Amino acid sequence: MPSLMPRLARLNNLAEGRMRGLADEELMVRVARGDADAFDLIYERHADAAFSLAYRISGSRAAAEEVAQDAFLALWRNGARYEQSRGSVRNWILGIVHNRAIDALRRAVRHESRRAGDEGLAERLMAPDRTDEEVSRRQEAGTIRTLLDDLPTDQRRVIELAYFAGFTHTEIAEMLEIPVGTVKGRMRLGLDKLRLRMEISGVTA
Amino acid sequence: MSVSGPRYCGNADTAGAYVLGALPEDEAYEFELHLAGCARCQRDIHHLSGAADALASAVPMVSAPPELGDRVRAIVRAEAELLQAAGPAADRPERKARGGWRSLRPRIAVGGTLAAGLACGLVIGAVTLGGSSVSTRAISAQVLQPGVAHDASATLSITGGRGTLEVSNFPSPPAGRVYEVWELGSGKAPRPTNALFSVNSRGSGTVAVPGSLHGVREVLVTAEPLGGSLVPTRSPIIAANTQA
Repeated sequence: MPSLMPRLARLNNLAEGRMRGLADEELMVRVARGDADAFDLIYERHADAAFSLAYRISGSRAAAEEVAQDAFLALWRNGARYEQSRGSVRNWILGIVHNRAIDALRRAVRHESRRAGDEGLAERLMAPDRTDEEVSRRQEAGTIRTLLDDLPTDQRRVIELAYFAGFTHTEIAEMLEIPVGTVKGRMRLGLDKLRLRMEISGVTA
Repeated sequence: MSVSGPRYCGNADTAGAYVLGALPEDEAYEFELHLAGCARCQRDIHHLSGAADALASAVPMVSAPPELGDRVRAIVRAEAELLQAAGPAADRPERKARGGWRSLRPRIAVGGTLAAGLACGLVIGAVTLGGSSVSTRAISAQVLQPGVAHDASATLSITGGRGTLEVSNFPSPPAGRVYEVWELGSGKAPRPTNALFSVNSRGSGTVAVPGSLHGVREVLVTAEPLGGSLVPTRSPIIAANTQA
């Protein structure tokens, strides 16, 4: 009689293979039911993006790790709150990371010093592309960075100060010594242009 | 509420600040009230969100450290085991929702005596996870301080002899103090570590216990002056028995 173990191993591999074929949205249904294997796959697919955003905002490896861990555990514990109609799983995760990283930044109130220390980490830890999808995402990310860089400086500046540094429009207005209305107008114009140029370039978030 | 659809809305510029998270809380709240009834702003938010989302995915990509994945997966595995042990009626381990962990405790408690009415948490179990490459025990620690929120909890996860302490619903350390991790070995005096931590606005915090836990009976936490102490100046607020 053949051993049971190889058959079980084959069944496990089959199950894992099927799971890998599931879309993020399908995996999130399982995560909401407490399926740790489904969570593993979600983590595998989005950990680099989540850590990268946390690092871009916090400027330190330790803070980025804390934010990313916090965000993924929140996803695990609140998976049932994900609503497909409100966007992709990736954007949902990055939204959680963004909120938490900005919260941490605002609490820390050390905008001046937070970039010190880990400068250059991005170059040292540049994530390798493992799949075609990652290659495609990296290319799109590069395109979006170019489009952002091409915005008029005053518009790009207020967008980056708000999104990556966590300043409110009133703080930015004080910093740049311009009216709050001007700050809001530049944000709006910059985002409009970015969106339009993304559409022309055929890239999506 | 009926939804209007003007060609122009005076809040048009506010939509940009909103999707960037640049509105102070009170203004964000006011805008959300407006948003509920303004189709124009709803369309704007939908349109501009695409650009704001793009900012998140356009950052230079760096690899998440492998140890981050090990930690996150170990905690998730441990919680999944606890959920499974608690049965289908158990709530998800979201600690703020409808009892969360509290609803699990009576079902999976394996022992632990409350310390003279002070303890508000108790040892709820140790789960050993046999993975292909990592074995993790998740130990729920005693929370020993009167006045701490009744749903405060602390979990020590031990993977490969190394520990990570995670607290939830915890108060911030008193002004001028920071939480410090101590190890209690065979002697009576706790050994100081350089692990100092605080909690975020939601009362969550995570700290790695330095070094190996080999020979460590208990992991303790006290609130110490900023910079830490060599000898505890206060009673422990957390006690995790590594042999539980």
